[in-house]
Amino acid sequence: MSRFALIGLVLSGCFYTDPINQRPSLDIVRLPPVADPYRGDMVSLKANANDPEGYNVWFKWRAYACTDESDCDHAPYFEKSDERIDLMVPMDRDPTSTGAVRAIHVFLEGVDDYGATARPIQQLWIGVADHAPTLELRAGSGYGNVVNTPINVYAKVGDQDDKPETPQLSWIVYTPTNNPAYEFVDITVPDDGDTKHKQYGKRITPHGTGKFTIEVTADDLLGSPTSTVTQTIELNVGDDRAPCLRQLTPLVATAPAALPMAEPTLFQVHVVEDDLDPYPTINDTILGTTQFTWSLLAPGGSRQVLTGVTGNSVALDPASYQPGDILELRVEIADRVPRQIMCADSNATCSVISDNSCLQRQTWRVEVR
Amino acid sequence: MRKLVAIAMLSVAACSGDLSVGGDDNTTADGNTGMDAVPCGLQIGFDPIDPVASSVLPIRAYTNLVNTAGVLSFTWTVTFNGANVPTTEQAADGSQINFIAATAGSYFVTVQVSGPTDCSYASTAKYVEAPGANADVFRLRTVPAPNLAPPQETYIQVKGGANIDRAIALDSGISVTGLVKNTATSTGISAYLKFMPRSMPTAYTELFSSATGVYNLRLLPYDHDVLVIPTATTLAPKLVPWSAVPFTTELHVGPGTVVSGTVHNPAGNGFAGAKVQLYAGSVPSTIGTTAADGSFSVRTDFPTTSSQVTVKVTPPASSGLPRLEATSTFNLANALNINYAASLATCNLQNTPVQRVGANQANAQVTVVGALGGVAGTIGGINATNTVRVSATADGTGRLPSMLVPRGALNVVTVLSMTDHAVSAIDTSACSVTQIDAPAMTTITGATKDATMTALPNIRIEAEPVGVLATAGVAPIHIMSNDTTGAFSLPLAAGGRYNVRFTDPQQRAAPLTASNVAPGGVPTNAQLAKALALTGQVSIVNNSTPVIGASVQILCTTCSGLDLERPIAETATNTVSRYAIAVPDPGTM
Repeated sequence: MSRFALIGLVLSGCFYTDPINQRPSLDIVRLPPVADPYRGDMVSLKANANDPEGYNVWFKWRAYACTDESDCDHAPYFEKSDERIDLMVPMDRDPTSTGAVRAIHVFLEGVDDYGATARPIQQLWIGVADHAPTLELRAGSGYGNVVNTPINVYAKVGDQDDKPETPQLSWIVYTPTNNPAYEFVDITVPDDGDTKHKQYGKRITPHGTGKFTIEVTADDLLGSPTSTVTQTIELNVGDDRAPCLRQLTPLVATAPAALPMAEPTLFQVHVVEDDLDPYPTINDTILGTTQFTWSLLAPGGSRQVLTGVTGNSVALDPASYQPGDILELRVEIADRVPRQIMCADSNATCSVISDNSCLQRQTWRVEVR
Repeated sequence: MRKLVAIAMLSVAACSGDLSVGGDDNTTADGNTGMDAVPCGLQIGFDPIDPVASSVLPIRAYTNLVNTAGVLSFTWTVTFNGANVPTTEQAADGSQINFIAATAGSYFVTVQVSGPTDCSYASTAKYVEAPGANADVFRLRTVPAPNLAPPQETYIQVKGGANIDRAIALDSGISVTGLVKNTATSTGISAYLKFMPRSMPTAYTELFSSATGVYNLRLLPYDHDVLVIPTATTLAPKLVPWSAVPFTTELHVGPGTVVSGTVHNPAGNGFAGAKVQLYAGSVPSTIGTTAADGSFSVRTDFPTTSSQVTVKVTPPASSGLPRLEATSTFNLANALNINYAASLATCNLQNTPVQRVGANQANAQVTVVGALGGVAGTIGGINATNTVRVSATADGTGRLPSMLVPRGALNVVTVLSMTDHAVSAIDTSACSVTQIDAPAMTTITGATKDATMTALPNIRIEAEPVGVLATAGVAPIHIMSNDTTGAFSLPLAAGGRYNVRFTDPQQRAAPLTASNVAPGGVPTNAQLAKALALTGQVSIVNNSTPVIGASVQILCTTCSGLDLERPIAETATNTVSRYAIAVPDPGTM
């Protein structure tokens, strides 16, 4: 514009200047829910723009994963140009960063149709909450929690906003007051394909009886402060229980009744219940089997222990006796713990634990036919 | 017609072990109006019914659904050894699938049904047999706690080459209370009772009735025969029928029929102390004891269908006479004359030394056993078989006390201790026995091995005496093979014969039996054959009570005597009602 033209304009009282495009103003609006999100949660944000000229405003969102205000990723993990965004809180920071995601830093820029840029750039600091880990415990023993036998303790760990491997486990064993020795070793728990949880196992072999308490703590180091969960499980370790005769054939008759025996008969113990030495047993490195002692009282004699017979059965043949003879065939059982059967010989049954539902001696009273 | 359909569907629901039944489906199902009260049923079927493992030929699994309406969807899973087996859909609605079972064994098939039905789930184990599998049949006996269900037996076919999963569903039976009554007095009596299912007599239940005759037990609701042996000797044992329909409430026994007779010694004189007993099958008489004149009487109440009666005579041990036994169609209305042969003579072995390698054996127990040649006597005019069994114990100097034995070629069994016994021949014909030999035991050494001839330690070895040793009442010998090498040393009587059984208490291998062998016949390389694992769940039909500690036994089918009762393998259900038992592998062709 020439000087004369300007003068002309001034003199005419009519100015024309190019209009000045004003900057839009911006706000970030957090849409509900507004509580601190957890890793993996979605955060909804909306840009509120006000352009004085009413022009369109174009947005640019960036979000950075941070551990704290001084430690954020260099590159944004999220960029978008929409007015409204749904932003996921990342599980991890940039692979080059070692810190946990404890906040996200959101930036919003805006430019109107004519290039006016909003100033200042809007920022939103969103703190990231942390779920405490979950922890479940279970104990299992194939040996009835008997002293000197192993008990497996399993811990199932999960973390809703972290990988299940994230929480660190610590185990503490509290022994009974007499402080018995024990062994405590890691065991492998088969992978069940559950990606939300991880299972750990320990095997405790207590060498004393009483209440052992296993305390397991899972620390989620990604939380700030560290979120922790602790669970305990009690193991009541007992002595090896006495074996119990459970199933015998043929019928056991008690005096004055007698089982008629007209043909060779197999006297059998089919089932002995015991924590470590049952009958029948299975292939197991710790389980043993019941020891059987048989004795026979025939007319005119004294009770004779059948020393060569150590199995669960004895056959008697009535042809070896006189019809009408009354025989007493007795079986006594024992497990690995020496327990003297103290009952009088005349007692047909005996329980070393004074419990008639758990007998270690039984006597068949048989009449030879 | 509609009624027939309903009955057919009900029978499917009632018979299927794999059936899931829902009871509230009141919609009219599958167009069968009027069946609203019939519960739905879901069952998995297979084609072929008895599949053989193949990597090419698929097995088709399909659903049988009854009394279910609406459009349904099906979700199938097939697993083998815990791993999923791929399936391919064979019907547009998903109600059928194919799967390949390349390996023999039990495949677990489940189907989940979605839709308007209460029958939403079914599962079953399908056994896929090995190609060319041999088959063997066993009895499977299950004995749960008496309050849960009565003992039950069934025949099972075991195909070789693969483990088997087989659920055992027990019939809870019915609680039975009854009374054993003396018909002569109409009062209850105490008696031994043996309830034997007529269809499977070996699955019997024994008990005693109370002093007032009351008995209480669980029984399968089938016909039974009950052997009733009264405690009182004035009443005759009897086989009494029992039925659930009509329900038998009383078992009646009475004095029966008196059978009398006389026992005469070789001199033709009656003598005291002989025991006489009659049997009609498994039904005994009372025991008769001869008076000084040889007379006896017994009470019988034999089944009217029994024609054959066995008479057994046991003379007093001091008589030196053999036992007699004869079976015939005796006329029991007549007096039964039992006559020892006049030619029978006895011999006293008093002062005869019992020796081992020239040394007298103090307190040795000596039993002379055997059978005399010729006819030792007659019973009711019928020639009787005879058995000699006379026992005595040597004194402190190793010499026998007075011991009458029949004259003849016999055997003598000497027991020096429970684990030291001997067999030797003895001929008392001339009554010139100078000593009784008790040869030393012989020790058989060997090793227990598995099917691949690898050492199998901790095998239980039982030497059960048979023949003369058994007649003498010698106890069996039990040992265990070495717990690392499987080596064993089994002491046996040199002249004896045994049934030697090798069994694995840990169920790693099938039992091995050497029957009626001399010590030299005991396998020194005792190879226990491969076993299959027979596993499964034991349950009570329509009862969710766990079946813990139930005895599960595998027994023979074609055996007799003690072997009928001796399990080939046995186990007990665990705390989750499961069992695992090793059965001999019949192998494959």
